[in-house]
Amino acid sequence: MSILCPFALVLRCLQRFLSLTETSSVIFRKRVFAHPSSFAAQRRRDPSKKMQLTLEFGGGLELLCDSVKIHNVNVETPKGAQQLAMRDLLVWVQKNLIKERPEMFIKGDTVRPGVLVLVNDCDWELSGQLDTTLEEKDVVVFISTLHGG
Amino acid sequence: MDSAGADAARILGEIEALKATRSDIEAKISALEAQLKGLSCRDGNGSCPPATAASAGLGLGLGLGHGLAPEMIYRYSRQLLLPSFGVQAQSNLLKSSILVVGAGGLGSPALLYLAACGVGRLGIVDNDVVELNNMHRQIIHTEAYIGRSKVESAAAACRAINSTVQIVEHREALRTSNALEILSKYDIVVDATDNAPSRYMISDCCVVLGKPLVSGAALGLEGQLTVYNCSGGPCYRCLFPTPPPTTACQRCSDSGVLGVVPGIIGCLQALEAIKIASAVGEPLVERMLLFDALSGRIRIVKIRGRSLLCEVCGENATFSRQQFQEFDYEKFTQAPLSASAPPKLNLLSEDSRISSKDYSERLKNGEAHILVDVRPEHHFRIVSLPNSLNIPLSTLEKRVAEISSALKEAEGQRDANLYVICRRGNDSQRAVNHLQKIGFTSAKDIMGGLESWARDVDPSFPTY
Repeated sequence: MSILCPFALVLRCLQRFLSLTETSSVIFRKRVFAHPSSFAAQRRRDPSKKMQLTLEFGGGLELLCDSVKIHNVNVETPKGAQQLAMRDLLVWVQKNLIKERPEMFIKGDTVRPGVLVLVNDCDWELSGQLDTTLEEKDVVVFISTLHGG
Repeated sequence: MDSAGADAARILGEIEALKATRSDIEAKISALEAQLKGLSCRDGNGSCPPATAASAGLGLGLGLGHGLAPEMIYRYSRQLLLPSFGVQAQSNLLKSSILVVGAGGLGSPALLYLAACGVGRLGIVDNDVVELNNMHRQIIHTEAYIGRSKVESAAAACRAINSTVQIVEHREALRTSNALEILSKYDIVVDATDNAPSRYMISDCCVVLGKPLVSGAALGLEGQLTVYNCSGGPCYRCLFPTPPPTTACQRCSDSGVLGVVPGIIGCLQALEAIKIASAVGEPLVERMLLFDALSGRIRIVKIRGRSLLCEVCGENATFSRQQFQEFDYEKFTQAPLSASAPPKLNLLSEDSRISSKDYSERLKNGEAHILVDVRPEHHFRIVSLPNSLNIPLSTLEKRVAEISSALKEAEGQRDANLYVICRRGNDSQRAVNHLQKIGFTSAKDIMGGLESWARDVDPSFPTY
């Protein structure tokens, strides 16, 4: 027992650590789904509040926005909406950043085939695509897949 | 006669179906054999038979369980010394076979490292010949091989680095007709091609055959890398179920590429292939590496997993060998299976076009005219015809006034002619089309662009 006890303690610590990291990673991954109350509440109090986002374009998409790859922008939540969703952001981007050939960015209400969308370095397929809700300081990357070699 | 014909058709159909079943079973058997081999390699009892000529030799005589001959031990000693790689991983590598599709910018460094590190068998597929404008990035080839097969050149380079690796030359374009046969002979496939239809075709073929696919791409100053169809991860179609519009598929020959950029991605492809072949580390599955050379940033992002709805690898997908062979990848992507020059357009009537030779005659005769070059500005800076006015096609609408005033200036007693030129003769037709619509009815396109000028009029005129 005396040998087992410290071992069990270590094991429990390890377990705790593991479960902790597990939870934190879940939180991190869910960040795009979840609606942490602080920001949401803040926006409810102040509906005109703009959200600061970093938008990046790559794989040739930057050519559609004056060849600028990184855009630090403030985007307003649409009237009547609680949160800014990717659906709204696409409309905003098309209106405010895309300077030429919009068909190279948008098809219908979503991005054209061959464009990957990443919210905080995570494929938007994993966070609900157009329904993904955004938070202050999120980083959204639009990247066109390359074929060259 | 009719019934005999129907019988023959029925029998042929049955034969085809049985053949398909047979090849499916063969694929399953070889996958299971590979699995078994992997298990016996990993149990550490040294039960691995020395499977390749490379690993056969004195090793067993000396009682070395891993089957590495003394010269192998010396050659690969720096890898054997790695605790996380070691003799077991090297032994796995020596037993593996890897196919590299494309001996270009990505394939060059990938092949060099794969040959050097001691892959058992290394296959190379390509149908191109080495050209001078390849040399800045396709570093496996040397000037002596210009005009000769890339596969021949790459194979010679690989053999020169490591004569103990079996190099297999496939001097042919990969098509649906030969892909199954070629890919089935290898454990791992490296996609180092340069066009969208090839990428869909190779991915689908890997799904059908159950092979992991190391996929890299590079253009301009950016690169992308991921591993498909490996450890339950997604295939290319899970990520890109619908092909992109052809206008979004830029080619190195149009958009340019800094040589070292595909070099870096090709090296990373070799690394991923080595990890899978030697069964060490975590392959880049469900993750994608994005490389931006200009800002000096590498970002690794999480991508979606295997899609249950994927038409090729999904839950209810029934994509068979036969379907693969019948699939028209060029039609699917609206693009050719080789990144050759775009097809020549024919937008204008005969009297709206003149040849480069005719234009040079008119130039000699001192005809009053203006020449508009509609290439992008950075193309124009490389080389241009004297006295040409650069108005890139994308800015043409906004800069029509410049053409009008240049024409007025050139006009003496007679009307001045308006000629339009570009690199190959497609954009110039688009430009003439537009100019004629807005009133410049005499606008003419110089057929075949500056390439035809260099070919038919002035061979000393630089091409790019």
